[in-house]
Amino acid sequence: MRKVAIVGVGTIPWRSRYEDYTWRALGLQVTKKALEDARLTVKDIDSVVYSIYCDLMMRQQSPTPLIQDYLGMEGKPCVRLMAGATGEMYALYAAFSQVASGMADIVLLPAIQKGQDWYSFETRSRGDGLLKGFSISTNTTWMQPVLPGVPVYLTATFVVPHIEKYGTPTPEQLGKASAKNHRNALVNPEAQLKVDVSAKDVMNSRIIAWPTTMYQCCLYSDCAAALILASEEKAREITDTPIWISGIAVSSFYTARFEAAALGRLIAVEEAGRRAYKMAGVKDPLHELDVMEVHDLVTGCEILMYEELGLCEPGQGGRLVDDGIVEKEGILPVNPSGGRVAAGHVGGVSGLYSAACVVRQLREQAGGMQVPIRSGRGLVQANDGLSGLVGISILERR
Amino acid sequence: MAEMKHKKEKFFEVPYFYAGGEYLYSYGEISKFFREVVENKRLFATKCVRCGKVWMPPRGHCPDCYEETEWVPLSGKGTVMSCTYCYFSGMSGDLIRFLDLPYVCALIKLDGADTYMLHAVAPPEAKLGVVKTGTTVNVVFREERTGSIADFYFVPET
Repeated sequence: MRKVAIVGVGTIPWRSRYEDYTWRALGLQVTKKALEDARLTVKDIDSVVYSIYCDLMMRQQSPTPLIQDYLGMEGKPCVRLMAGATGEMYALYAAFSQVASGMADIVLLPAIQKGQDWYSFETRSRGDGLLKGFSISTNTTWMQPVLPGVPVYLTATFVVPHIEKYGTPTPEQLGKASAKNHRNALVNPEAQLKVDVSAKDVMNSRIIAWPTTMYQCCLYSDCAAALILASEEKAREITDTPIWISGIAVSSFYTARFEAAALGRLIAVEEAGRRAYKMAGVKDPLHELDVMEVHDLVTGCEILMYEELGLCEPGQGGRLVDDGIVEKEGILPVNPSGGRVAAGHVGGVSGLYSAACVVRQLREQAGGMQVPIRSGRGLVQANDGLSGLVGISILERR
Repeated sequence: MAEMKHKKEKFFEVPYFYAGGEYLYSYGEISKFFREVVENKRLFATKCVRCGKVWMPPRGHCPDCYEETEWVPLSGKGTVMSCTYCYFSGMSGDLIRFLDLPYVCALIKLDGADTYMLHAVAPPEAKLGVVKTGTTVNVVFREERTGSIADFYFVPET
C-alpha cells in the first residue's frame, strides 16, 4: 500500500444559509481554494470523489454529473459517496484507497451540501422545512413517525443510559464541554455561531431532551470543503508540509435493532478508533495526539467519545472536562474549531472541514485556533446522525 | 481570487414542489404488522425459525441466521429500557400532532420480544421522573389508524 498525504485544503465559512450561491458554486469555491493551497490546476487532478449527502435538500437528484461539469472535470473518473452524515469520511476512505492502491496519484475530494433552501410554506420557516425534510433521513417506518428529532434519539440511546450506569456526564460537565466549544469558536473566523456562553448559560438554555439543552445541539448550515490527496512521490513534489493519512477506518453499528449492549455506548466509534490507532501505531492516544476534531452532534456524545476513543476509562469522560484536559490549553484539545455546536454542521461536509482544521493545526497555520504541536499527530472523527456509521482518520506531520 | 465576495445583487427565490413527494408505499414482508395495528389493534413481532430470537421491530429475516421469521403476537405490555423527556419538536414525526409536549421518547422492550423498539410514552402529566428506566408501560391505540407506528403510543401501567 502506498503512503497517502493531504496536500491541499479548501474551506469557506459556515453559514446558516448561502442564498447568494448555489451548491455548485460552493463546490467550485472550495475546489479553487484547495487547488491554490496545493498550487495545482484542474489538469493535475486524476480523479474526483464527491461527498454529497442529500439530493432532496438541494432539489437535485443525481448531482454528480452536474458538479463534474461545473468544476471542469470532464473525462476524469468521478464517484459520489453517501453514508448518512458521515459520507465525507467514507469518501475520504475511498479517495485514500484510490491513491494507496495506485489507481490515481492525485485525487480531489469535494464535500458539498446545502440544506436551507428547504422551506415550510405552512409555518413560513426554513428551520421547519429543513427539519421536516431531514426527518426522512431517519428510519421512515420505525423512527420518523414517533421521533421528534435526532438529538432526542442520541440522548435517549446513548447519553441517558451512560448517565444511569456511571452517573456521568453530569449537567455541569455537559455545560462546561459545550461552553468550551462555543469559546473555541470565538477565534474561528469561519465559525457560524459566535456567542460566549458559560456552562450555566448552556445548562439554563431551552431543554430539548433532558439533559440535552439547546446549546448542546449541533447547528445546521450550508457549507462545502475540499481536500486534495496525493501519493508520496507527488506529495513531496507538491509541498514541503505534506500531512500524511497514517490511519483511516470506517465502521458501522445497529441503527434499527437495540439490545442492552448498544445502550450508552458508541460502539462504531470504538471499533473505527481501534482500527485507525492500529494502522497508525497509536498506543496512548491521550499523550500521542496533539488535537482532535470530533462530531459533537449533542455534547453528551462528545464526552462519551473520549471514552470510546480510549482517552480514559469508561465513565471518566466527564472528568476530562472537569480537569481541563480537553480545553485548548489542555493535554489534548478537542474541537478547537468550535465543533458542530458552534462552528457549524451539515451532513456530508463536517468531517472534511474537521480534517482541514487538523491539517492546518499540524502545519501550524491555524491562527487563533492553533494548539501546541508536540508529537505531530491529530485525529478526525465523524458519524452520521444516529451514530451508526463512523469514520476516523489519524493525520500526521513527519 | 476567490475570497467569497458577497455579490450585492439581490438573489432571486422561487417556490418549488418536487415531483417525487408522494408515495403509495408497500410494507412488503412486514405488512402483517401494520394490517394488525389498523384492523385489530394488536402488536406482532417476528421470531427467527432457527435461533428463536424475537425481533421487534419485526423483520422478514433474521440478520444473525439469514433465516425467515414467523409472526408471534405480543400483549402490548413492555418495559422502558432508556428514555428522555422531549420538550421540543421541530420534525414532522406524525405523533407530535396527537401528543402534547413534553412527552417521553423511550426504548421499550415489549414483553416477549428480545430487541427494543423506539417509541413514545405519554403519561397524563409528563413531569421529569414519572417515566424512567424500568417503568412498565401499556400500548394505547389511537382511534384513527392509517398504518404507521404513530397509530399507537404507550402509557405507564396503572
